[in-house]
Amino acid sequence: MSATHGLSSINCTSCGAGLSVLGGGRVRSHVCGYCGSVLDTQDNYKVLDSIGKRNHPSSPVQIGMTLTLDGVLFTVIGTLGVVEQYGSSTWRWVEHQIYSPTHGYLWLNFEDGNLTFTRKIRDYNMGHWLSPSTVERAETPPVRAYQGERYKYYETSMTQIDFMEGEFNWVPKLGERKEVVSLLGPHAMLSLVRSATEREVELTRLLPRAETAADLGIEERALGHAEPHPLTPFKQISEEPAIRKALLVTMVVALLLGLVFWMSGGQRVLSTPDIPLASLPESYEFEIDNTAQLVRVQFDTAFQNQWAELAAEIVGPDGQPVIAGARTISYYSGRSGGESWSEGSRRGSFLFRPTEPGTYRVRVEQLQGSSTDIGQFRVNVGQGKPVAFWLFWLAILSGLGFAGLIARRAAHASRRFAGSDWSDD
Amino acid sequence: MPRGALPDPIGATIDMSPIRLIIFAGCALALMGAAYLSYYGVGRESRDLASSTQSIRTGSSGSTGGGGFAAFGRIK
Repeated sequence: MSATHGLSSINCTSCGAGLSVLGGGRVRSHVCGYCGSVLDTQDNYKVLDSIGKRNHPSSPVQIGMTLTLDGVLFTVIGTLGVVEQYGSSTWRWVEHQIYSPTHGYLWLNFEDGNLTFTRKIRDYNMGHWLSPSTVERAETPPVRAYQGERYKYYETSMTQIDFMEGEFNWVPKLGERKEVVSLLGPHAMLSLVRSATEREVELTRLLPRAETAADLGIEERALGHAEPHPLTPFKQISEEPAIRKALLVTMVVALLLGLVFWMSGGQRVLSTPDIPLASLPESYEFEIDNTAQLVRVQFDTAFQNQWAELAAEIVGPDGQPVIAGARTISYYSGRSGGESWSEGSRRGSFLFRPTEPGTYRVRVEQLQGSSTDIGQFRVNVGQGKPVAFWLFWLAILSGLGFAGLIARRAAHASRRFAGSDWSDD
Repeated sequence: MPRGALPDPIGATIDMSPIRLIIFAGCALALMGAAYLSYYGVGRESRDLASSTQSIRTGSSGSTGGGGFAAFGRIK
């Protein structure tokens, strides 16, 4: 007797319990869930070994359940309890062998409330194998490529079987060990698995909890609380690519337009020749016809290691003062410790909104300064002066929004590797 | 052509959902608003002693014609 299509159940040749036959013709062993006998399906279900009665590992997935992966219907045929120990820490998870008559044998894994799906891949370049000793010697986390995706080293583990039940396409043994080097890619985990007899490469994907649970016929809450998984996909906010693009374009346009406005002096209506400080106080007249925009009155000096406080009173066509104030202009520079330095500015300005067109007059006086007779300056007045303030603020806000979206994605990428055992030491 | 898609001049389609339209329109409005405020310098006048504000140094109001900067000899 051997496992063949059409045979739906057999009786355990050790204890006589009824066992479902679900796994197709390439099943090599069947572990009785009642007495723990390991039966050889290729040799009349002869008893090969026994694991005895053991506690079933915790998993909501049961043998006989079905689920559809990538459009292919699979049946759960076996259950392995797997354990990893490192120091005083122990990690446990469950691997269910699943079977499809057309796609063969794969794995459905359950760990920390998450369901993952593992398949062996045959087209990985084995010349790029990664062993734990290579990882140990590496200066930076090793990286491998598969099908155009980049996989970065995540962890090395030594796994061990501590429970088995159901059908398998090989003969598992309690305590069977595997050395697994895992690398994390954008959508999957690449595992380089070395057992006592062979080397294999596996690809693991995280399955959506709710949909997979519904497909298996169980409630999502039966999976328990889901711990963060490195394969958890990044959750974009609604229309994130469009928002990112819009924020970036807004930032760039606002910045460029702001720079244009910032550099624009408006329409020049007064530009005096160099005025010696010693000639102050002095008055200058200029004509304004644009009352919609601001007028800028600017002092441009050629100060070098000098300061002065220049006061200005601007009087409108009606003889009323429009603005009166003072600007301290200070500019110092030199060399210190082999490096050039400078501080202050050679300019000072006033912005005002003219109330009516006509002739305006600015009277300039030096209030105080490092010198009253050395130094000179010019008065430049421009009307229709735009400012950059609001555009720069918009650029900052949209830039912060854009940076926030990028940072959110970067934080997720960083969190994915939070459980990695890589250490730079 | 997907719902909400607009034909473009080269025959392909631009997927412009209502939400995306709102996002792009919002950014365009913000840009236009900031450009308007900046062009006309709204709220950016110098905070110096203006004609309608009390002169700190003179203690008089410029609107009466008697105010102004102390240096100009208008102290009452």
